[in-house]
Amino acid sequence: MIRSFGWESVEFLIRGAGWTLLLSLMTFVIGGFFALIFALLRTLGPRPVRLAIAGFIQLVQATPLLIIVFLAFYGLSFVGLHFPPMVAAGVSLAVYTTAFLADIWRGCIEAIPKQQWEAADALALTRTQQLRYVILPQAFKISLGPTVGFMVQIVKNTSVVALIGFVELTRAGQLLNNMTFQPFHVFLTVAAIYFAICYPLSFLSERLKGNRHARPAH
Amino acid sequence: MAYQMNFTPVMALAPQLVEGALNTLILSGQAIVAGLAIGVVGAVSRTEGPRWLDRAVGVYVELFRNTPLLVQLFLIFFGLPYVGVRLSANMAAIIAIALNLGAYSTEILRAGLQAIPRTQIEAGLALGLSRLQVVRYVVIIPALQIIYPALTGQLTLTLLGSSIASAISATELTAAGARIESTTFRSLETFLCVAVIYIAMTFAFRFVYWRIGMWLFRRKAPPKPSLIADAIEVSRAGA
Amino acid sequence: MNLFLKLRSVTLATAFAVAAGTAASVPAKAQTLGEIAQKGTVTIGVLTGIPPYDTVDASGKTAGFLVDLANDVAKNLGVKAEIVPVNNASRAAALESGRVDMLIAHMTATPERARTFLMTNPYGAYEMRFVARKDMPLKKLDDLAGKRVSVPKGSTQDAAVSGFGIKGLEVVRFDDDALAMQALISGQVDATAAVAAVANDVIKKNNLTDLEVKSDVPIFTLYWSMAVRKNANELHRWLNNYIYYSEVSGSLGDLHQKWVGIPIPGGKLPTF
Repeated sequence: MIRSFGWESVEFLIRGAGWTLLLSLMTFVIGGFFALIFALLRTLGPRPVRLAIAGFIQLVQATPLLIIVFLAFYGLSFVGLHFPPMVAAGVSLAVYTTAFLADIWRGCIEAIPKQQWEAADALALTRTQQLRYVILPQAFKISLGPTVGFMVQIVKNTSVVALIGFVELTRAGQLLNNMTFQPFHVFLTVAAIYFAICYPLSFLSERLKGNRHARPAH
Repeated sequence: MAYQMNFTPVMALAPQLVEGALNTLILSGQAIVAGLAIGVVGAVSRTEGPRWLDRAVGVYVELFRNTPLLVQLFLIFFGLPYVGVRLSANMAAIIAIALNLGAYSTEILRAGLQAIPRTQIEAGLALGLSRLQVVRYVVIIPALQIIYPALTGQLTLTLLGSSIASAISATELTAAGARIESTTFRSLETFLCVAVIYIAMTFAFRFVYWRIGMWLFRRKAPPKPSLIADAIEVSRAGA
Repeated sequence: MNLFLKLRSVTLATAFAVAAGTAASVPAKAQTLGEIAQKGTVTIGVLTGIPPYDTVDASGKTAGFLVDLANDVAKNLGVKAEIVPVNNASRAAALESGRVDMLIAHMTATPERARTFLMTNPYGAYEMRFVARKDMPLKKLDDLAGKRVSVPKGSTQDAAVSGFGIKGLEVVRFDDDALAMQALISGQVDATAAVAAVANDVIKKNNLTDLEVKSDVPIFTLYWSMAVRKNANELHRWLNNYIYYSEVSGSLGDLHQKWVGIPIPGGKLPTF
């Protein structure tokens, strides 16, 4: 048992950070999968579908993450879906990830000039081919920077699952503080670990965006 | 699996929710004013200031954008007393949220300032506009127009992010919800009510931003401060 | 357009994946002894993060009074225990939503809460005391006038201290007992209303020589109940039986002694 802040505590926090990483990855994969579908349907789907997705995105973006995760996590159980806690936490976070990523990616698809569609059309490509070979590859390039940037948000925001009892980095910090009552040491270390994970991502994100700006503007 | 929703016990305590919502508005309002002030100073320091100042502000921005708000709150509220600084919960929350918003808005405002080409400023001066007029009509308003959606999106996230402040005993909407939940044990109903209030506040804020935008940009309506733009910026936004 | 057909099939595939995942995941909530036996495990929500009632080791494993008690409940049911950590904010939702079959989570059976859940006979008790700096006089409740007192949000301490009606007393609410205590240690409040055993443990382990548990003003002794969902009558009755038996056989008291270092306060546990 841990009594005061020492090497054992750091080990405990690093273990928590492992869960944070795993949870972030899972959230990104699940959220990314749905976000791609949503982004495509939001730009190209039939009108009712577009409106429904826009509504979903609006609502999720207007609710605090804490509340979304809470409602999604226990909502799953309320409707009779019983996942293992890890998966349930991932799915709850994915609700919010989907809403934001779908929106980012939609913006990227819409940023492709109309002439690109027209040119592809002139080449007699089918609608799917236009997307597959002309639009999405360009949109993908634009999306890299913002997407990696959003990963930083995912990593930081996994901290809210502490609310539902999942022991990741932030919750590990809280538990450690409950045992040691040395908040300065504990949370400074927690912050340092988050920074070590997030800063490289932020840096990469800026680089990816920078490269885009470095190209001629038109 | 027929769960019986029962809002009556929650509704009986509705005044607590109203009070919580008001406190959320006051708390995030103060944090927004302070955060934007930090952002303006930060952005000008980065674009116009000497190199060392640019660096220093850069370090501040990266530190705050790459750590969670919750951890920042814990450090400011529980950690600072160990170096002799003791703040009330609401004050600690305002400071943490403002510093957070300050970091994000520094970058957003800087992007706006840098988007205005030097030549444009020179052109403005050549046309005989005073320096003040140039700053106002050639720099600030066009720059603001470019970044307006990103900035308002960030402000929305600030409002929602204030929900985290309940962790350090700040008395806002989420805290009110948690108390009601604990007394009644009607968890789903309570948090649904809380969610609806947040959604209503967010939409009201968006409407206000939109009106301000209309007025600022002379009825050349900016893109509605909603999704596309919020989202592009979300990559840099924090909650 | 075949793109949309493709999208539709992807959506369908997702729906199937979700459905399949559900079928393969944890069995649905159990309400009766028969359902628990059939499932082979009982899922128990346990409050964590409040030493000495529980503690976490470096590998992240939780151990403690409530965890041992939960495991013993499962053993007596003849099934495996699945322990789900909960906190003050999530415990009710965890039970109501079916994520757990029962809660052993330091809950006081208030009539208001009993409208939502079935609460068992108490399995333990705690003495509530004020903790403050040694140099702060606290002989009677009125000494708290104009002071700031921290409590866990929505707890019985919260209800009690808020209900005293002392002039100028400000109640400051935190997420759990430890944060309320932390606020006193960091000097953000003048006193905290805490479980005496927890406070003594914290003061001793962390060598907080300037703090003490104030003995002149007892707040009250409160009892903890387990909780099950409203219609789980059979499970409720079984738990009452289990609690009665572990008390008279002494195993409950031993467990408390082992983790908290004192017998269960308040003498014989009441029944209702």
